[in-house]
Amino acid sequence: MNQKYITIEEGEDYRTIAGKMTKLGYKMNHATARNILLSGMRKFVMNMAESLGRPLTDDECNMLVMRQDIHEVLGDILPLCITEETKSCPVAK
Amino acid sequence: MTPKTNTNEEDIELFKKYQTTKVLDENGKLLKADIRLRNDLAQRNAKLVTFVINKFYSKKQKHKELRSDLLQEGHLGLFDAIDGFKPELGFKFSTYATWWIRQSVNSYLLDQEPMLHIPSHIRTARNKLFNLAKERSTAFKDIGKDMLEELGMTEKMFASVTEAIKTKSWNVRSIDEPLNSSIDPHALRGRDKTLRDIIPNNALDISVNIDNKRIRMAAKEAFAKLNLREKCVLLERYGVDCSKIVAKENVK
Repeated sequence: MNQKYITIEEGEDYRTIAGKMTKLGYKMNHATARNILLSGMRKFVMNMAESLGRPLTDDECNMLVMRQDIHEVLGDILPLCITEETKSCPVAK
Repeated sequence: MTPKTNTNEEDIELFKKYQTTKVLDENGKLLKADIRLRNDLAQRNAKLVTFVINKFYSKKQKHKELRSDLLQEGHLGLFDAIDGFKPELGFKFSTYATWWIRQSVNSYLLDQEPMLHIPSHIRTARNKLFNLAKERSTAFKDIGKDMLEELGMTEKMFASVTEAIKTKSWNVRSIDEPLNSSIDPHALRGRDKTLRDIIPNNALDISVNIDNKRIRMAAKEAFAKLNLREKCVLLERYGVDCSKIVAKENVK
């Protein structure tokens, strides 16, 4: 469980993400992309746990974020979030 | 009980006698008759029912299971035959009654088969059409006007039959029916599998469904609290195009 890196089968690497984000107006390099991802992931997991009525400590959160299965599940959940988010967006349609 | 002697002449005399007791309405429908005489005639020809059932309805397992029912239905057919038999035409009663017995039994069997009720005239029409199509080696859909005319069938009736076939009501089966349709004592005790056991249930359990809903709501809320940059990086990491989110933010 004490692994350092998480790999996911689909999706982009940090350099590609950084390139895309730069194009969208958020200038960044691959390291920044990684840092943003990790902090975003942490926030997301913390917020979610809070919404489900079981707030996490920082240690618990760090442990969860380093789990491969959590990353895989997030891959299933995130597309649902974007669908909900963009439902009312006329441009996105 | 010793079986009664049953000679043709005696029967004819009895039928003639029975005919004199019959009272018909203007449509030829039987209103009144000597029931005792009819019962006597039925008793004298009861063996005919057994003979017909043995000859035509003894091979299939389903018929074996329903034997006692078929015998009863056959007797009802025999009563109809007694009511309609005309001895003056010179035919043997057994020739005439066999058809009535078979008609009664067939009608009963057809009523048993489909789970959804199909009117008997539609069933009869369907059978006629299938037989004709088979005879001519044509497909059911290729049945034309000329063939309908030959059967004396209207296009409306043909449409009804086609509709009945489309609904596949002939193929309707109970979900609790044992897969082994024979009468198996184990099947009746629930040891045999039914359709319910083998049809996969794709619907999620209610509790799982509620949990999923909660998780989805929580994810939605958690995601909404992130800033745009984080949202985009997260989505891109999982291969989801984030341009929609950015477009929405720009609209705001």
